[in-house]
Amino acid sequence: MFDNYVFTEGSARNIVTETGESAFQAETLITYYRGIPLSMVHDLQLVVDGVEAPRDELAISPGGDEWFTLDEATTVTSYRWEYGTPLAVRWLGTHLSPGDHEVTMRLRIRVAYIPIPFGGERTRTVTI
Amino acid sequence: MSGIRTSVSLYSLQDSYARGRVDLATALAFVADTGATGVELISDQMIVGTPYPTDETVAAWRTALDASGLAPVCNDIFINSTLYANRVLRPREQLELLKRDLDVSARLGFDLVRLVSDTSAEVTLAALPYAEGLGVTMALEVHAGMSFDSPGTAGWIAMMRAAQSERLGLVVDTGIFCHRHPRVSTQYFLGLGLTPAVATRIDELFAEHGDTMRLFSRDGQMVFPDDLTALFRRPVDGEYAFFSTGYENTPLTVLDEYAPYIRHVHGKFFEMAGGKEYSIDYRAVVEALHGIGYTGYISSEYEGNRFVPVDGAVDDQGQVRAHQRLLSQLVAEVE
Repeated sequence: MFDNYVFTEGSARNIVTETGESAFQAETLITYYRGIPLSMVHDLQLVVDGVEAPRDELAISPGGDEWFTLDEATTVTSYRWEYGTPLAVRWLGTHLSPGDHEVTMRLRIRVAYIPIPFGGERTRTVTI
Repeated sequence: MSGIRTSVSLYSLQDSYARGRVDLATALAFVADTGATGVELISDQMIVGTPYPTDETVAAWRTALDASGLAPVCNDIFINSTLYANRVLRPREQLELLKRDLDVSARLGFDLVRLVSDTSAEVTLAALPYAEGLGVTMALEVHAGMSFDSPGTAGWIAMMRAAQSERLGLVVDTGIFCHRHPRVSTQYFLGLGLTPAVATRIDELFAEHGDTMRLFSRDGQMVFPDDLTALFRRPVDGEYAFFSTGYENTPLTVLDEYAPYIRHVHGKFFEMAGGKEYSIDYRAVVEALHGIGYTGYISSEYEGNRFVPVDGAVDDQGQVRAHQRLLSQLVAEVE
């Protein structure tokens, strides 16, 4: 029901990180209606042309100043992902070749009163 | 004319806010422009840094609130009991989070908070002295799917009755008064591949039994009738059947019993069409509330935003205006 917010259109691009590493980056809004501590991001998956990014090669950041791997994020309780703020997602060490690519983003978060993690998914054709 | 007042929950404007059509100040100005005299906030949604917003953030909220002329009616708070993936927070941990949300609510000018439906009686009772010290009332949301009869809600109400504190009460969500399944939900699920015959059968069952919650609920489990499951073709059919129980049709007479405890009302709505709400008879709701002497607020709470097809436009502002028009008309007319 929050699929509208997954994988912001026009956000996907190749970048070079602050440490000089190449990465593929895209953005998403939260699949919910309020901000949450980052630890409540339950899972995030990125699939490019049928290949799923290994979990430990993904890093996330709301605001872009501090970055966390998904495993690191599980303990990040004092850093909030604010509602309406894009979450940047990076597949570290990857650069997409020029041309069209099919990219799927899946996001699940945990919320206080729903027994199972939930979220949304969106596939877009991305032109590099 | 009743003494009932109207407000808008900023929940209703979540899409406008997330996509930058409004910021906090313009959202408040919009609410005032609808004719509402109060506003309901979700501090986790629009107050950056909650539950520890900076003094500057709080001052900006108060400045915008003052400029709007709206009364701060209610702040919706949650306890992030699922903060960690591997365990649920223990009651003492939950208590600390609840206290922080009470703190931020008081700083923002609210003397009433809505506790989300699954807030435990134990944690609420433990927080009561703290809430009393702050002068903040904690009211449990009575929400469709978890209405008065559900064990968690019933347990919380038993605690409330025993505690006898002015700082405890209830927020009734009018989604418990649905006389039919919301059409926008059906259309949304049809777009996801819902089998049309399942949608039709759910509507029939709703009409035959009042709602599907009472028909499907068996000892806390959801059990679907065979003539319904025979129509299932895809997983979404079962999901739709399950979600259909989230639109209860509780008799309005239930308000009589709980009148002394009702601190606030969520005016849940899914689709305004032709000046009316498709699933909820608001004239009957306002008359019933007037009948029990209710003079608090009804907050427009637009739920249809989540049933807009992917990439479809969300007319949350138009829907809220239409709902406020209906409420103000009914409040003026009711005798």
